[in-house]
Amino acid sequence: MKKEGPPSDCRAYQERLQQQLDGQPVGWPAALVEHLRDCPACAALQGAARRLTAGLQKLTPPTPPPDLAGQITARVLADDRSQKTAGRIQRLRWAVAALVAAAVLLALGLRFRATPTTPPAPEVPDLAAAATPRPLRDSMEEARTAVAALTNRTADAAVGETAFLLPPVPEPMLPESAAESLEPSLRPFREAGAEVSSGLEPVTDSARRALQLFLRDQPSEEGAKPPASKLN
Amino acid sequence: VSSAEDGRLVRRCLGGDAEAIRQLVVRFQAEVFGLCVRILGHRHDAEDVTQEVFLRVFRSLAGWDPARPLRPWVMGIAVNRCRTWLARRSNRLELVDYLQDSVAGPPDDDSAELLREIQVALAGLRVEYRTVFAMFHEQGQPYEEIALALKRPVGTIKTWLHRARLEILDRLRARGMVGEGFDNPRPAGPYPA
Repeated sequence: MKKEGPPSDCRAYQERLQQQLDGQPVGWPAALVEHLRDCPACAALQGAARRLTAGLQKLTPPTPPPDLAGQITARVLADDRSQKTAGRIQRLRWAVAALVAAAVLLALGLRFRATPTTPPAPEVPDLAAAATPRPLRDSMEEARTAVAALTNRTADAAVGETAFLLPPVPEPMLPESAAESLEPSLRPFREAGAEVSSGLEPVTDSARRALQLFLRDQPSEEGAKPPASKLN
Repeated sequence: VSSAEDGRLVRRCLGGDAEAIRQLVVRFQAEVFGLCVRILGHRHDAEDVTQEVFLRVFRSLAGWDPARPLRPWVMGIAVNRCRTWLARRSNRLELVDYLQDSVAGPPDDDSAELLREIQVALAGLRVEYRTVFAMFHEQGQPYEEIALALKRPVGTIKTWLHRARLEILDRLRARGMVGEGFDNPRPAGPYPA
């Protein structure tokens, strides 16, 4: 007895067996039936296939627990609700974020629009230098000079402004009699000059008073002497 | 069930219809659970994974292509969830659960032993072989649907199933479960005498 048939016959048998297990109609040629009689391996495979077929017919699919469908349905519905809630929350977060961003942008826009063009910073006096103590005599002299210069400048300006109102008058070429007849005409010019002087008086008086007040408040150069009322 | 009916059912589910959701679960739960039991070899794990499968199915339902059949799509999700589960856990099998489900009717002679041997042989197969074997022989799914579910060519599915059968037959032969009379063949079903 042969231990194994030709490999081609074994392969041919296995192909037929697979088709048989697939459920296809298979014809068994006499040569293959003869091969099964002579090949123990294929004969054993044939016997195992027969048992497998019988076992598969007895095999029933596992049945799910009776309440599994209900559990799954409840879980699916709960999951659907949570998914929708999560979606709503997510959309709400996006909406809030968009609103906040829009509000910030709006506030920034309004602020930029409302802010005027920054004027140049005024010159800040050098306080440190001003705080430096200076000799009193220098300060007094400087104050006097400043007040005098201010007075002169104000007077010159006033005179200058009024001078151009006076037309240039040539030297009188008229005879004495004519000059005397013209005297009334020159009087308004004299009066105008007097008025300009009287107009400048408040300025000069104010400057004078300011200087006097300033000098009165300054301590004596010889040292601090207590007032006479305190000595008594 | 026609694909048009599938489409209507899916649209109702997407609309939040609780009854439609229940119908879809009832329609596929036996196949999903059965496949999970076969792949995982553990009923309790199969229940958990079945719930996960349907959660995933309903979360992804909007992405289902109505031009394709619904069952392979659902079974594909089931296979993927089982693979993920297997990757997470240690490979443990509880054959008792399987056998309690598997024996139909009163066992004659060595039926229980035969089923146990088939189960052990199945458990020793690669996951792909085990999956294809269960989908074809237990659930009666055609090659084309299995190929769609596993996203493999039909030829690959055939190759996997043929190898699965040969491995199981080899185990049965090695365990002496070879039937009788191969020295004196007799007519038995479709097999040659």
